[in-house]
Amino acid sequence: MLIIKAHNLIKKFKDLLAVDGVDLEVEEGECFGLLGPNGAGKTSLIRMITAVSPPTGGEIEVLGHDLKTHSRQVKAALGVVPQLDNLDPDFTVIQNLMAFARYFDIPKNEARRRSMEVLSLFELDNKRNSHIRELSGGMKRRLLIARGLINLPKIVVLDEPTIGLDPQGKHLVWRKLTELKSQGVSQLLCTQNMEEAAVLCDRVAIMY
Amino acid sequence: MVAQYAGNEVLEIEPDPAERDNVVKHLKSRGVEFEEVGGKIHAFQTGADRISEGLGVSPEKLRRRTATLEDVFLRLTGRSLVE
Repeated sequence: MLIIKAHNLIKKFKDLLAVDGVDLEVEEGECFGLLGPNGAGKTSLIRMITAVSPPTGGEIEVLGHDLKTHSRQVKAALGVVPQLDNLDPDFTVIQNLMAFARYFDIPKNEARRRSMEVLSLFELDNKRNSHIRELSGGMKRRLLIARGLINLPKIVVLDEPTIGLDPQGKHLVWRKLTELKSQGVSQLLCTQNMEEAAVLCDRVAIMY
Repeated sequence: MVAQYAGNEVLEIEPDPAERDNVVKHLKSRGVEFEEVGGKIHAFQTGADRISEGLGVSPEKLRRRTATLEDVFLRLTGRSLVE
């Protein structure tokens, strides 16, 4: 089954044509890699698929929902791991996860349980009461990925998930992503790291 | 995919600036496809030792290795694509 289906997607920013007629199909349960040099339009494409930025033209269906009319349903089923750290610096680690869970209407007890679960998944349990500023870059990145899993998404969209990680952190993330895939969570992975693409992806597309 | 776009083996050549033009000429005359990245030349689908002869570059400037996805990326997105 196709879980992401994009046809003739176009994104224009004034005079700049960022995405020019992209067709993309992602199968359920696979890890699909999106590669391409800086400025190829990968992030623009991902922002359209995750219903953050409306396409200038073309159609997107995610999990059978037309994104134009059902963006709420799509957002509820997606886990998004952005390229840039957008954690709330005023909150602790656990508060960040709890606040994020609120966006998905997850009841408090369940939110706490899942927060602890994703923290332990990414070996951050002992940092749960730390402030964001006390975390290293690698911890923040792992927390961003953990946060993207709080709503038990069917699809995780990851934009450069291991950028800035040391080799241990990178391998930890790779292992967790592989485990997630074996649990049936589909992945759309944007990366510049060819080793990462070769390790994780079932199929890749190169944008240029 | 790697085999289709980059072949099995890649020859990396790091010529001195003075040698560079000769190397490029040699590769072109042999019909070998290559990409130039940061002073290094990556030659694709080279078929073993065949092309290292006559390059006029000392052996320590050559490195043979297995092709990877990175080579596919270079070939498809490189700025000096040779048809």
